[in-house]
Amino acid sequence: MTRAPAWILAVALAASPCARAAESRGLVSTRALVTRLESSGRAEAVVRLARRDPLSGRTSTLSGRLALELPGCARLDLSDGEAMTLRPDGGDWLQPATRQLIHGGVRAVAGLLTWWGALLDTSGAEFRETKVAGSGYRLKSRAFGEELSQRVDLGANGLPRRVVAALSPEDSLEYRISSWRFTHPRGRDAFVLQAPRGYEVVHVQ
Amino acid sequence: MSARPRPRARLLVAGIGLLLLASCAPRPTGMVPVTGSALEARYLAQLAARESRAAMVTETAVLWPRAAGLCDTCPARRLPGMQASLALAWPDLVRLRVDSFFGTALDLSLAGDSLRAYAPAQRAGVLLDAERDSLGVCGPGSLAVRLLSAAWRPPSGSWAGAAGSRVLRWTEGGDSVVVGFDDRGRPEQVEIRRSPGAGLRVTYERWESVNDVMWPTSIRMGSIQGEFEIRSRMSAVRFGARRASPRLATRIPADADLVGRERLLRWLRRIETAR
Repeated sequence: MTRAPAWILAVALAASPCARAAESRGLVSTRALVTRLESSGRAEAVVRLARRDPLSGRTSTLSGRLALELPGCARLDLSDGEAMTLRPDGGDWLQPATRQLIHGGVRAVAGLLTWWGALLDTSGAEFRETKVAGSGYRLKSRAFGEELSQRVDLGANGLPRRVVAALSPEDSLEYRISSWRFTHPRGRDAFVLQAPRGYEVVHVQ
Repeated sequence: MSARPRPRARLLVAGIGLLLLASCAPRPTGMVPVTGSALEARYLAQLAARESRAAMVTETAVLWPRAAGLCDTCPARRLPGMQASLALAWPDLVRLRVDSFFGTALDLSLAGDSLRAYAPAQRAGVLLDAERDSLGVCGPGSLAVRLLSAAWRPPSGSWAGAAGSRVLRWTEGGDSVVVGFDDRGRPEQVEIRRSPGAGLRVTYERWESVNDVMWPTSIRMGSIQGEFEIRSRMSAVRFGARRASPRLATRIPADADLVGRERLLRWLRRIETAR
């Protein structure tokens, strides 16, 4: 399973019970979202993704829907049918291109979280957040180098409206987020993907 | 009140219609086996077209890897499929980025004898030289370009030796190469063997005409003994002018964890042990 967008995991982890104690010292860029997520239980938003392929030079865009729930559950459904979920006990990735549903076990997701742990550290011990021009913040890892960073721009309501995540030295993803909505949680089952007919199911431990 | 066409006129119209239909319909052709010089001419003409357009090719690939089962009677293991961006430039540059909207898993490039790879999630980089690091493959960049563009170069004498057949055999740098062609002069299957039982088998399962160039868009490749296999499907094939080489080289951050040959081999042994 490839890694997930950092900011989704950042929000998910920041919202987890383990991270709540550190909330007051946590990231300014996700504070409003985490607070509202804690009070309601579920956050939903519309996202618009844009990504430039460094090989072809072409930029592709896609829309999708994001859902977040406590504790540490995230789901992103893209308009082309691709979807990804993360839960404390693992995660799923539905790939229409390969017609596969990949179930990642705790170890697979633990690897993701271990990697992103530095970026997700809400205490600030391993993560540096700096204010940048406008309503933006740049998040950089102390442990994993300067090249991996993300910029979070907040809207007037204090919620993220644009996130640009660096995926590799030449590659970044832009998320434009709108229509934030807070509602009651649906529970773990809403973060478990099922394989459509004809799809292959692959388990990754 | 409109006049109704007379029976003879209707017959004429129907006849013209039939003639038009017949002129557009594919005509039956005798399947004459193409071998020898005719096969050579067809293949070389297509090869020239591919090589000239392979100055720079970008395409999207979907890859389905399979590994041998955990026991002799066990089914092949399913592995996660991958989406990738692929670029190749004649004669020996290839770059493959396994990525999606959820991130980049692997960025790998081959240039002549060198191999560079970077896995952002692991923050691990690999920088190897085929000759210095004894990869066991001579010129991996050139091999990859030939494989992906089906640009195999049989020595001229090998065509004469294959009279009446569509299978060519030759040796190349200690490897034995066998290429089977279809009726239209397109490679169907290629086997490269270094020693008995060890080698690579490539099957070209589908071809498409891209800007009047026949290009392989479905390739199955794997070890002859069946330890692994990758099925691939290419789309969005585009030919372009050669770009600067650095664009085809994987960038490894200065602070990445560089994995050397020995560590890489340890990892591979661990995977093999896990089988």
